[in-house]
Amino acid sequence: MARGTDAMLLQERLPEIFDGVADGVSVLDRTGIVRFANAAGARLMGAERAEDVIGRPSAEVLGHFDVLAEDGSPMALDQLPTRRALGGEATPEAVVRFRIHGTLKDRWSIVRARLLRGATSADDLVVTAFQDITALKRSELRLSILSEASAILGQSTDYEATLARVAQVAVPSLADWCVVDVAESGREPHRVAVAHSDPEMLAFADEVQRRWPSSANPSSGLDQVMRSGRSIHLPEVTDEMVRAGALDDEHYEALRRLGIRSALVVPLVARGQVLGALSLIDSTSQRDFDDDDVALAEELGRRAGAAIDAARLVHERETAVRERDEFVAVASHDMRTPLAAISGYAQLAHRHLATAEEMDRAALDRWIGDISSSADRLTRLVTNLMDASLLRGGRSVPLYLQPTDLVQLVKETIAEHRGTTGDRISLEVEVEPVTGKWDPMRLARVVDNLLGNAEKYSPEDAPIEVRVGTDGGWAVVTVTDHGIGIPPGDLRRIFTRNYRARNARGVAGTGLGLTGSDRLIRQMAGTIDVRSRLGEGSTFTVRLPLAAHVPAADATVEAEPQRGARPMHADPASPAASADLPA
Amino acid sequence: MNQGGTRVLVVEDDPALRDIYSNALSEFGHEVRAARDGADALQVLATGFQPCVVFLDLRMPGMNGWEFMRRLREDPKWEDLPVVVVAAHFRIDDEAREVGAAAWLQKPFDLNRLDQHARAYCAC
Repeated sequence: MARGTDAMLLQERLPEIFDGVADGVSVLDRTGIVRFANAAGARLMGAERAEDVIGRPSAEVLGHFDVLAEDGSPMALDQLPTRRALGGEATPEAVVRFRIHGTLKDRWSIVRARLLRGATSADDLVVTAFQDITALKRSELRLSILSEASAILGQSTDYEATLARVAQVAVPSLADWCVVDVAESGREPHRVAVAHSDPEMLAFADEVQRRWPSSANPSSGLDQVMRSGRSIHLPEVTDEMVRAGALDDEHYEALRRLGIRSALVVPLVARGQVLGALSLIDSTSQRDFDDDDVALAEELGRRAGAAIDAARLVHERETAVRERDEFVAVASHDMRTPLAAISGYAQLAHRHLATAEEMDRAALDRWIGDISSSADRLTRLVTNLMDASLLRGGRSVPLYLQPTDLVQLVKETIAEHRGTTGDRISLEVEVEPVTGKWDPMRLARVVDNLLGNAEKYSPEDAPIEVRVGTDGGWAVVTVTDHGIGIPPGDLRRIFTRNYRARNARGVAGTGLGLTGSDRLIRQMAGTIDVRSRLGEGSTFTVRLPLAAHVPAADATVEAEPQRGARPMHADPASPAASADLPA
Repeated sequence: MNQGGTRVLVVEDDPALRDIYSNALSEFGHEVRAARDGADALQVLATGFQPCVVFLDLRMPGMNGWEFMRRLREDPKWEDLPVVVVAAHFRIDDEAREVGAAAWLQKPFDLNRLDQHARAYCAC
């Protein structure tokens, strides 16, 4: 009897027992009425409690779902395991994807059914079990997005093209639109990719970005993420938020039309640097970004960041190799002319000695003298090339300090320029001589460089004024042109290598440039600075210590990190740091 | 010394090289005129000097070798005048082809080559 009581008790508590089961369980009769459902089953059917579904036709209960196959294609109702069990199949099983009408909120279940035969077929029941595998399917989807994105990112170093394809991968499985912005070093980010599930909205989004660039909008999520390097997740973007973020009424209307319901902006990072941002936007409220989506987007951001970083490194290396090749080409070209003179005079002399009946001592003397001066020219060239190479590498050059008259040196350098520029260079000498212990060859190159720039960046007939004098313990040379001038924003940068690279069009020279000039002057414990007005011209001022051990003054132009960097040795004018030749 | 010698024009901005080429070509028995750039060379041609070969540098301040070649070929009289590019550039072969030169000499070179070219193109 006790057994009978136990059975009764069990039967009573059966619903409670089933509620403890994680899988959904439902029981239908032949008419399709739900006769039983446990709590999990009711939830999977979109109801809060079992009572809400029991007694109702299953077709009605499931009415607000689209029933789909695993791959998202529509599933015929007779393919559902419950129907198949009713049809007599023993234990049918299928993966079914339930989607709430009009959304992209999917749930996946493994559905298994079994027919329990009654005394008559009207008493037949079907027991269906639903195993929720949504979490598994989602992580599968995320993994496939990640692996697809990684494969794309690894295909090419043209990261703008690969990022555009990655954005396509994220749409629509992850978001309605996906936007990627990338910042070149030290510049505002620019949009490299936009993908949208709706082509019309894509065009509109482009237009909105053109008119109101997000980089120009300090309240945009992009700006915040770029600065902080941290993700922003806005599960719900309210109208107030849109209004607050809009730059004006028209922008507000445009943003409303874009329909930003929720947004997720993650940084593209590599080696601790924020290189850009990836924005995922939901515009239809069809999906919610959950923590897993945030993690996925952040991982995408890291992988994209690493790809950008790698592509840039490859590009930098290619540029460096190309520059070096150009350097070698230009260097060998420049060396061939004096080499040709040495070889030519030697051949003439040799031929003369071999064939002339009477030796022409005067001619031989002149030819040998020319060999010697061409060899000097070649030596200077080799020294210049060596200097350029050292200075490019951020190293100092071995100085040959000797008593030097700055006035004489400037006069000679100007004389060399007269050949190309006529009389546009004027020289004003305040005192003469202006002597100090400097490296005359290097100093002449700096003056030559300043004169060359003045010629290059001013009209052909515009005068160039050079002044030499002293100021306290300093020798001062100024070169003033009346040319195009330097934009105020660029004044800080003109002594840095990047600036020079952007302006030195064509062949990467073996020349000194402003960067090299600055380094050389600093090595001689001097300074070089510039004042300029756009459209009016520039004045470069070189100051050198008259006495050997005057410490360098700070640069007048605001110091860049590179400019602030001192040479390795503490006292560049000391004999230890240079070959100090006596007069 | 002047046996079989002919008329040649040297266009070279570097004074030392101009001097060397002129000297060598004279020694080889040719009548040499030298110009410091393209404009100078055109002037020499305008005086009635009729070379049968031109030794031409390309990179020169003032009128460079490319511009000189363009102007030279504009005149039907000089349409077929052989030009030997004498330059230091590492792509001298391409450059010589571009300007329609008959040959090229890369600096530095054996001065005998000047004579060989002069005799080859002048067919004297």
